[in-house]
Amino acid sequence: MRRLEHLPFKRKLTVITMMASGVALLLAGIGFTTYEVVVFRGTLLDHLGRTAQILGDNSSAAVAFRDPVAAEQTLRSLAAEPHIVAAAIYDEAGNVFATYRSLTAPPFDPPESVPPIGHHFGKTHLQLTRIISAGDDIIGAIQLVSDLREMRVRVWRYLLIALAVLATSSLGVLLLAHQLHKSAMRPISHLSAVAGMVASKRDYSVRARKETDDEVGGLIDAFNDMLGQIQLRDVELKAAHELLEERVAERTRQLEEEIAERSRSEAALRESNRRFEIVTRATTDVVWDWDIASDEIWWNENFQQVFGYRTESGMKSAHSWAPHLHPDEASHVVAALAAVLEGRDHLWSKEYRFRRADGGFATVLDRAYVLRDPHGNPTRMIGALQDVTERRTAEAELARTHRELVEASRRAGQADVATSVLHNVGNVLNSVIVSTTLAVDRLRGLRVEKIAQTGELLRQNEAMLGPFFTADPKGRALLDYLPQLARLLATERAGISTELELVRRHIAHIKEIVTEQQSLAKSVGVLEKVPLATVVDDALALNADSFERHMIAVECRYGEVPVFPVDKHSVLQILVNLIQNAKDAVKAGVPPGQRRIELELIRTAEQTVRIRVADNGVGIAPENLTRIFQHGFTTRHDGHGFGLHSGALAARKLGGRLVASSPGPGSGAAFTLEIPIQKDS
Amino acid sequence: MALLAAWCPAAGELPAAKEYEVKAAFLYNFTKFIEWPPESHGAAPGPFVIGVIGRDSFVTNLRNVVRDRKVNGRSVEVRVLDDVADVATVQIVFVSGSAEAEVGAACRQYGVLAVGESKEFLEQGGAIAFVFQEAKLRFAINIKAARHAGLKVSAQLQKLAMNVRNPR
Repeated sequence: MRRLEHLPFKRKLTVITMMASGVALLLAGIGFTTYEVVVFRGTLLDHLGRTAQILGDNSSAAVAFRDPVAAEQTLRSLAAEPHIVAAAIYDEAGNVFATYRSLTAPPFDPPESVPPIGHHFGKTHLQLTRIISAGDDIIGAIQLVSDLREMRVRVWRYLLIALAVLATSSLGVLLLAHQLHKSAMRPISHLSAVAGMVASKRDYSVRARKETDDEVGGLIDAFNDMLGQIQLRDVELKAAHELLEERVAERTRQLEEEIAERSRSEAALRESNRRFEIVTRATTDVVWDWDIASDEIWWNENFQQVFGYRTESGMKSAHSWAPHLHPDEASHVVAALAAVLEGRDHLWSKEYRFRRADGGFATVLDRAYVLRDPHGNPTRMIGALQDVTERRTAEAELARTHRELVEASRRAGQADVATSVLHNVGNVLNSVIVSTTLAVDRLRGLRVEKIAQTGELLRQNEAMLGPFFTADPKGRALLDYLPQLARLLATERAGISTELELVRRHIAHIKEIVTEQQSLAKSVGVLEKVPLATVVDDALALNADSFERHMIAVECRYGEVPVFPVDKHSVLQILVNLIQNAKDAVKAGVPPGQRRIELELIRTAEQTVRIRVADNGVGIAPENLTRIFQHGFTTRHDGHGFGLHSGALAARKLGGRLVASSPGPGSGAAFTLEIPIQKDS
Repeated sequence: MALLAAWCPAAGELPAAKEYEVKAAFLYNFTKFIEWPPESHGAAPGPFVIGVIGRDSFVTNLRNVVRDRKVNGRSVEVRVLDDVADVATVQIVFVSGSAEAEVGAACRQYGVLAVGESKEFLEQGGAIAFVFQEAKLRFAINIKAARHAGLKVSAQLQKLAMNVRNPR
């Protein structure tokens, strides 16, 4: 039945019709055959019974008078009945009395003793037994055996006929069904063909033809209606489809552009990554990349080389980084890192100690960049650790050596004093030498010989001095020349006396230095009520010749400053040092003509006066801003690293301080001396 | 008699007792294939009577056979006939021995079947005679005599009977 579902409709109908008619015919055939068999058996039984009756009657006398010959003669009449294959007559005692066997049929032996009265249908034979009576007495029995072959033959014949009828009727049914199907199927086939055409050509304008008013007709109407609706929808769909296609094309273009853009940026990213990779290999820094969200840290290979850790073992998160910090500074470093993450800065730099695999600590300079999302939250941090252990060790070593040297000089005791004295005296002596040299030059340049020449000229014209002064042009010129010479000599004398005055002052200064040095032994400076502006002027005057020589512009600004007791020589000594440093700085860093030094004297607070010496020279590196005050530190190859050190010491002695500031190398520097205003005691 | 003698050795093959048992059975069987005229039963239907003459012991054989049997709905009675004249009161008379001739004549009257034991009996007027053929007991019928007595002998019985005129 399942197979039937997959057959075409026409075949299905045919099979159903055939099966129905076949079953009907088969049932009829079985019925008829059964009926025939039953009837045949009845007829046979009847016939056999009658025959037995007649034969029994006819042989009753023979039985009664025990004449088997006569009985067998009677039985022989059975030859006329070919289906009776055997017969037997039994006497009153039940023994076989007479027998009959058909010559044509296979032999069949009747039972030896009388069988029960009645009949028995066997497989192949029907056995029928009747009594033989004479008058009121039963004198024997007769049995007839009929061959059922005839019945079987008949049944077969019937079956054959039924089969023939079945075949013939099936053929008829087939032909009839074919014709009927044609008429019943044509509208359906037409509908199917139209549907197929619609499906294959997508032509919804065709319509199926309606021929009948049955269910198929209704189906065709519904189908046509449906086609109409589909046609309507198809038009709408086409319009929508075109719109969609435009949109798709537009979107495709956008996507292609996006993809091209993405592939460009991906290529750029690849290139960038490649560069990053090469850089991480080229550098000796330990490069790290911390994904903050997942807390995973990637380290480059230097991590293993520098710290000795296996990169694959641990150290995959920030939580494993912190325990490697030096216990003394761990909380400080972590707090600094947290601060930069919470802030908005991108750059972070920190120097700290980091535990190596061997247990020792490496001093590292960690410089990192924080990547942030649009909300400013840190997402990633990439940095490089520079192992500065050796550098720091070397620096520490240097500092230690310095300290040892200073200590050594301190131990020397007087060496420090002597150096200070010699330095200051040396400074002043420089100025003395310069001033002396200038005075000597001027003295040499005095036109004293001109006076001698004039005297000689007058002596030659002694005889006639009147005409010489009136007639001789030389004499006339001489009259003008002499006043001029007198003025020149007066000027030179003034210059020389100025220089000599400077020399005197320098020497006085030297004396003061020496005096101070002597008084330093008693640790007390001499306080004088001097205007600070005078002290500044003195300091400038001590260097004035250098400014001219090296084309250095000097600018001074003096504010309102009270006069109070001050250790003049200490201030002077500090200022001379600062001015000489400024001079050296502009000489080294700026071409002639652009060299500038500014001095400023102002009162910055009720109790503080400030003297500032600024230059536009070589400047000071930030790391050196404090170290320059250390004893022995110098940036000049010919320096001995004492000036600023002693300056700072002197400022402290004054109760003030000396501070350096500089925007950096090449940007000039400024030194500020702050002095407290002392009350009159 | 010579003929009968010729039969005797044959007859002698059956023991006497057995021979008469069979004869008694045959005698009873004859009632089934012979139709008696209605007049033979008299006005009132009494028992069917078989008379025996000349051999009294046969009565015992006969009585053994007919015990509890009926002929045409009538009980059967067996009696020894002392007088030939009594033949008229029975339906079958069996005659044995010397009385045959006398009985044969006497039996030529209506409604009595006379059965004897020799062929001559038939010529003397008897209807049926027992004969032996090939050691088998058979019988011969004188149809004329039977008809004369008003008896209808069935065709079957006639077929079984020996043709006396042409004994084999």
